[in-house]
Formats: sequence, structure tokens, C-alpha cells
Amino acid sequence: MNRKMLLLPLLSFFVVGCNGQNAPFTDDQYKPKGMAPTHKIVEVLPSEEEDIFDSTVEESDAYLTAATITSESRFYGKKVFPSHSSVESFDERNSQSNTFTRYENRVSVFKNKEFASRVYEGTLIKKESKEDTYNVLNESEDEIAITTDVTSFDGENHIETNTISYDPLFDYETYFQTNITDFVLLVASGGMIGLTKDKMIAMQDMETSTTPPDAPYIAGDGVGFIVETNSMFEAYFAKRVDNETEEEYYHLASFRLYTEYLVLSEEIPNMANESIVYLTKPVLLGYEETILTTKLTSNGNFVTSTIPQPTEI
Amino acid sequence: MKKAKLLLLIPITSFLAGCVTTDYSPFEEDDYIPIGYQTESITRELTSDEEGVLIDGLLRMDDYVTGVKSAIEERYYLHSYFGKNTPIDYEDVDASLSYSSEAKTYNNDVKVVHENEKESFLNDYVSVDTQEEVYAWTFLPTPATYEMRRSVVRDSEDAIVTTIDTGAYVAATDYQTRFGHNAAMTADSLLADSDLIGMNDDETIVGIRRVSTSSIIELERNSYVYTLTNTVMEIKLSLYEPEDDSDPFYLPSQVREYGEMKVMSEVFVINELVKYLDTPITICYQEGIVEYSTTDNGDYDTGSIPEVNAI
Repeated sequence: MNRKMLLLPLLSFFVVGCNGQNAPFTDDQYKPKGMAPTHKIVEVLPSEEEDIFDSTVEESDAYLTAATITSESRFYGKKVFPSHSSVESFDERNSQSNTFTRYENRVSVFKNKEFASRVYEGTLIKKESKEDTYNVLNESEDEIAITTDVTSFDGENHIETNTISYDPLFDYETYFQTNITDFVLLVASGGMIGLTKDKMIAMQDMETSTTPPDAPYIAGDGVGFIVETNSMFEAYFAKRVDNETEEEYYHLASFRLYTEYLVLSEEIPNMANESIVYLTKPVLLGYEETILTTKLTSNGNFVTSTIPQPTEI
Repeated sequence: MKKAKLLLLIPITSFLAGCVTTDYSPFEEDDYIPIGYQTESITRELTSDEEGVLIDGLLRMDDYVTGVKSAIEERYYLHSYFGKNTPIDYEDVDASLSYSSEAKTYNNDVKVVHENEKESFLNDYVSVDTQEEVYAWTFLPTPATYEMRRSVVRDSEDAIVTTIDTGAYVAATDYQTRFGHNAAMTADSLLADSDLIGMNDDETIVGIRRVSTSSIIELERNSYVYTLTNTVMEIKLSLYEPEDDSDPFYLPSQVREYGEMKVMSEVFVINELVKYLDTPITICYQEGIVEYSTTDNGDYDTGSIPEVNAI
């Protein structure tokens, strides 16, 4: 086991480093985890655990005090095909992060940030936006002040606060809860399910598809290539005990969705009977990776004086 | 037989692979380096206020534009690159065209367009340079009529001055047609065609269109080659503050269009496997740059307009 632990960082460094995926974005430090699952399924899911999971997981969002989703995608349509680029070819980077945090003093904060950059032959198009939302519930819990701090892709910043009525029975989930588990269960359904060594319930799946020779990926100059799409997801659910009811429940601990596009061949020959030459080492054309992590511990009190003040019109 | 055919083609393809446009020109003293598909960097979207000012400017800019300069450079290296394998319907010749034009509108209702064009053709048996200088004057011989007079000088020949158009003139409706520069129509059309519109770091509005088309072109000797045609259009508009109005607007500062044809493969014949080039070769390009001005050109000395000497 120790040996494995040593090998993992080395292996991921080597594999990621070989892809050369930092270029052409010089400040791009992101290294995707890739296709390998983080945890191995080592045990079939016992029916007793399955029952607990089925009866508790859909309501488990209430336990989550914070959730962070990061999405990173890269596309190297220009870099990968230097001899087959056109003025329409581009490399693209998109980085998004979404966070939800619930505090003890009736405050929740949602933060969304996006950075997109596209490089054509000689053109760089950079865009950045963010949207932060601060929800502050009053002491009598019948009004909520919602402050949105938005900086759009045009660079303009706008802050506004609206106070609206609040009903704890109907509005709590909207303002003080991340509602992510249903989505994860939907994506993760249909894969393998089991227990990890750490007794987490794991849902995993991997899929591969390859463009057929008569419908290849088309590069900028119209030439075709065989491209393989690999995708995987992994979701992990940890078991906890409710402090009040002392009943066990499963909650979403982490989720990852990864898709990569690999160029497998040289140019598809212009003649039907000519063999396609496959590369010994596929070339990374692009990838998309979304990682979700959750937290159950307290975030303390939010310092409400740090909430930005509305823009004067 | 197939071997012999290949041997014939090899020198052509080797020559092809050895040439790149940036360091190659058969024309003496050709120091033009196209900007090419290098365009401005758009770093953010336009705000709604900026969009409003942009649209407002389209309604006002023609009242302020008093001049336009344009330059076009064209190069064709078909003889150098293909020799006797010249593409079907093309001449086996290298060609160069340098064209410049400057149009100015004067305060006393005179518009003068000055054009210069130099063209060269080159192959094993032709080496020709021609030059043409054209002046065109639009003026009002009477308050209700206009006249367009043109002077053409070809190479070292004498100037031929002719009247090319006359007609009735009504200032209220005909001024833009006779003395304007169509900046708004051009800007509106190019912005509508742009795939990308945004602001660069210098607060200049940039509109860009990029189009590529791949094709196989047929050459002489039953041969073919894979080509790619790239075109890039870029329009830049900067904030202009008129002296007579406190509301600024965006005025086109430059329009540029670049087109090129690249050869992507070696020359091949039917039933021969295509070999793609590591570095595609640009075999022809055209670049046109247009710049607008708002300078007060004063009055034009109408006495300097030459008399007609030919019908």
C-alpha cells in the first residue's frame, strides 16, 4: 500500500507532464486528475448499507455546510494540428468555480466565477466574470436580504440588495442549502456501485468511443483524424450519524466528471483502401473536468460588514 | 511508369516544401510584409452603454469623416510554386499589385481621389511592370450640377483628362453620395458580418470575422493539391470627440481585410496517396487596409483642376 501511495503522485506527474497541456496558456497551472478513479471499489455494496443509502441520501443535502464545484476545460484545436490549422482554429481555456457556504448566523454565500480565454491564430480573447450572492436572514426569520455582486464579461460591476419575505418552511432549501445530490445521482446512475476500502459508497463508470473512419474529427483545413473520447465519473458517499436522531445516513462526499479527447491517428488517407496510420502515443486534443467537494463542519459566523454595498445609480 | 511520373513531380514538390512566403519574393525591392491573420486581442465584451454609443455613432460618423486612405497589396506566386503545374484557369505567372488611394473632401464641395497602382508580372518569359496614377475630382461647376473629371497617367504617357460623369445636384440629398466616404455603411456592414465584437485593452472596439475554406484544386498535368483559403476581416473603432458636440461616438479608425491561399499538401495525381506538408505554404495573399480621417482639409483650389483634353 505504501508503495502504491508513492507511485501515484509520480505517475500522475509524469502522465500529466507529458501531455504538455499547460501550453498554450502560459499561466495555466491546472493538472487534471484524468481517467483514473481516486478510490477503488473493493467490496460489493451490502444490502444493509444500500437501504441506509436509499433512504437517506436524497435528504442529505441538509447536512452539507459547504460545497465547491470547479470545472476546467481545455481545447487545443490549434496547438495539436499546427500543419492543419486555419484562421478559424483556436485553443481554448475555460475555468469555472462555484461555491456555497452556510454560516451559523443565518447567512449563506454563493460565489460563481468564470474565466474563459480563446486564442486564435494571432488573436487572444479573454473574458472573466463573477457573481457573488449573500443571503442574510433577519432575526425574526421572516425577511431575507439578498445582495448580488456581479461583474459581467464586459467588466462592469453591479451590486444590488433586495429584501424579500421569507418562509422557513418553503424557502430554506433555496437560500441555505446546496441541492446537488439529486444531480449527482442522476449522472452517476448506471455505473458500478460498491464500497471503497474506507467504507465509502462509490459509484463509478468509464466509457470510450471512437470516431469511425467515415465520420472523423475534422481539423481546420478539412483533413480528418481519428479521435477517441474517454469519459469517467466517480461519486463517493460517506456515512455519518445524525447528532440529534443518532440515525446513520449517507451524504455526498465528492464527485468528479472527466472527459478527454485524444487524437489517435495521422491524417486519414485520401484513398479508401489505404490503411489509417495510428499513433503509438495518442495526443491530447482537449479535456473537461468537474470536481465537487463537500463539507459538513461548521463555518462559524459570517462577518456581515464585509458584504459589498449596493452600487449607487 | 509510375516511378517516372513520380520523378517528374519530386523536383516540384521539393521546391514547394522549401519555400515559405515570409522570406520569399520573386519581385525586386518587395519589402511588404502583410499583417496577415494577426488581429487585435479582444479582452472583454462591450457594455450596454458602449453598444449604445456605437449605434449612435453609425448615425453621425458620416458628417465628420473628411477623408479615407486605402492600400491594397496582392501577391501571387503561382509560377514560382507550381511552374508548369499551374492551377487550371490560372496563369503560369507570379504577380504583384500595390495599390494606394487617398480621398479627401474639401470645404468648398470638392472631393479629390488620388490613386496609384503598380502591377508586375513575372515568369520565365515575361517580366513586365506597369504603373498608373489616377486623379478624380468631383466638384460643382454650378450650384445645381456636379461634374466628375478624371486624369489618368499610364507609365510615362501624358495625362488623359476626361469628364466621366455629370448631372443635377441637390445638396440636401446628394452631398453624401458625391462628397461622402460611406464610413457608416462600411462600418455597419462589417460589424454585422463580425463573428467577434469586443473591446481591446486600449478601449478600441474591435470586430473580427475569420473564415476558412478547404478545397482540392486541379493543376495542369492531371495533378491536384490540397489548399486552404483563409480570410480575416478586422474593423477597429475608436472613441471620437467632435469639436461641435459634447457627445463622443465610435469612429472606424481602421478596416483591414486579409486573404490568403495556402497549399497544404504536396502535388499528387489520381490514385496517389496525399502527403501533407509540415509547414503549409502561402501561394497568394491580398491585404487591404483602410483608414478614415476627420481632418479639416480647408478649401480646394478649383483652378488647379486640369482641363479636359480627351473625349
